[in-house]
Amino acid sequence: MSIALFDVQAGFGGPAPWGSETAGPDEWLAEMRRLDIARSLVHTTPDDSIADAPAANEELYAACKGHPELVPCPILIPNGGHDLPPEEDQVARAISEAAGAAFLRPQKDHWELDAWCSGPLFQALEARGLPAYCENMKFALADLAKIAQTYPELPVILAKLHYLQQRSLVPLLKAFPNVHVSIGSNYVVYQGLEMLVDEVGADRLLFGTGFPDAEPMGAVTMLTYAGISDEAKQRIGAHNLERLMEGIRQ
Amino acid sequence: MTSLLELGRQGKPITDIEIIDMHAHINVRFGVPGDTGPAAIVKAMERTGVAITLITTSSPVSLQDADRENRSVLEGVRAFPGRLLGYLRPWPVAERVPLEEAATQIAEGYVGVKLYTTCHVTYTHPSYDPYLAVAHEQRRPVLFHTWGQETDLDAIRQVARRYPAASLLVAHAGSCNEPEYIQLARDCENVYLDLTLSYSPRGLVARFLEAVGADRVVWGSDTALFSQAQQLGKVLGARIPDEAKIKILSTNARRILDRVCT
Repeated sequence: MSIALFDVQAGFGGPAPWGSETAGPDEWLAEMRRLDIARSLVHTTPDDSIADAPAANEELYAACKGHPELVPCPILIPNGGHDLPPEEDQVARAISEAAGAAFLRPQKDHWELDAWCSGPLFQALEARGLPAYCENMKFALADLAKIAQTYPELPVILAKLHYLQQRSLVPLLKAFPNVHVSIGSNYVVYQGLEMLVDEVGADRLLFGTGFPDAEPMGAVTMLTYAGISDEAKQRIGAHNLERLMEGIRQ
Repeated sequence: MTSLLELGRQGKPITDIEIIDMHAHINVRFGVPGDTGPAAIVKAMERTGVAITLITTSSPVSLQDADRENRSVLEGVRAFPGRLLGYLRPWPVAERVPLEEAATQIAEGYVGVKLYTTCHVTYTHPSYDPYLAVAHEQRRPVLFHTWGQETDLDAIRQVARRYPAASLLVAHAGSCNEPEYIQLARDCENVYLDLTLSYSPRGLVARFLEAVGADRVVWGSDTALFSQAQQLGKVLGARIPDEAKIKILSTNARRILDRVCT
């Protein structure tokens, strides 16, 4: 049985942290074809060297144009400094560009998670159902839980998990039904996928690779060989992320 | 013929080749809730088609604990003959054992030795000497935990020269300091680069192959800490020919195991 794949954790841009290889959109598209990955949510990498988020977003939108298999995940930022479009406009623009989520990086973009600073952005995302894409190293799980609790209609995608977080991850998913997790790098937990399906079900687990940092096939085989049902594999592989995209209010 | 990449993509067990996992643990006691016992590992092997897994202890905290853990490794090996092989993990701060005692311990049923820099000892620590000497005499594999520290890699270089008949597997190769791992393998013919690594840097397998050749790279998974299937994917998906993948996953390990003479 072939498992359809929609990658929630991929990107392209500058050189990868390891080695000297760059990974542009063409490299990722070729890799998607090689591994039979149908679609991917993509952001610009390496994101920690991107200071001008709006410019990076324009490049991302341009790279995704003409490639319906690439779903942009632009960086959105609260407009506390009045140097950016209002939050509602940022979200509207992202949706008009067929974005599948908003990449949030509070520390890099110098904003606070509390409502007095970022409330308008989270409210705008929640109002339109545009998922918040949050990477583990950028958000303490406690902060992520606070966001999930404060904005219960906002789908939150947690990516770049560490392999020793399982004992926090399970209660997080149980406590907050709007939290979804990527199984991409560095979630390599022994029997972790099986345990998550048993404990919280398959509906909030999302296939992801971690390209370009990680060799993407590891996430593929973790899913295809998992000791879970084929139906669960299909949900994790693509259906769950497709469902999240369908929830975005155009 | 279906390629190894296609088999992995389809989730079909790979049984046409004898896949050997040279780096695994049982009874993992930190951060991995779930059954990490030998039976659970063998069950997971059935799904991927991995034929043999070499296991060792997880994280003993004392000499007595290491003894208990080593015994549990032996029990696992005996419970699943031919599917699980074991490494003995000597506790480095124990009093140096005589050569005969080290040989007797290994002969209980271990195929090789796994060494750590536990308690901040180096791999040239005298307490490790008897085990390395036995590994040399009997051409056994020795698996070293490393994380790119030059002091560790330099110590392994010394060990490789002192005990050239032992097969030395350098775990977590490429975790950092990638060029130093490559140089170590180039300097020492009995050193193998072990791919066990959680984050699987893109292109690492191909770079190692280009640098040291397909005969000097072995596959390990670090299960039951990591998903064995996930770690398998980094080789199945590498941009290298299937012939090279087979060497990494199978024939290199088979050659190392077949060298062992007791």
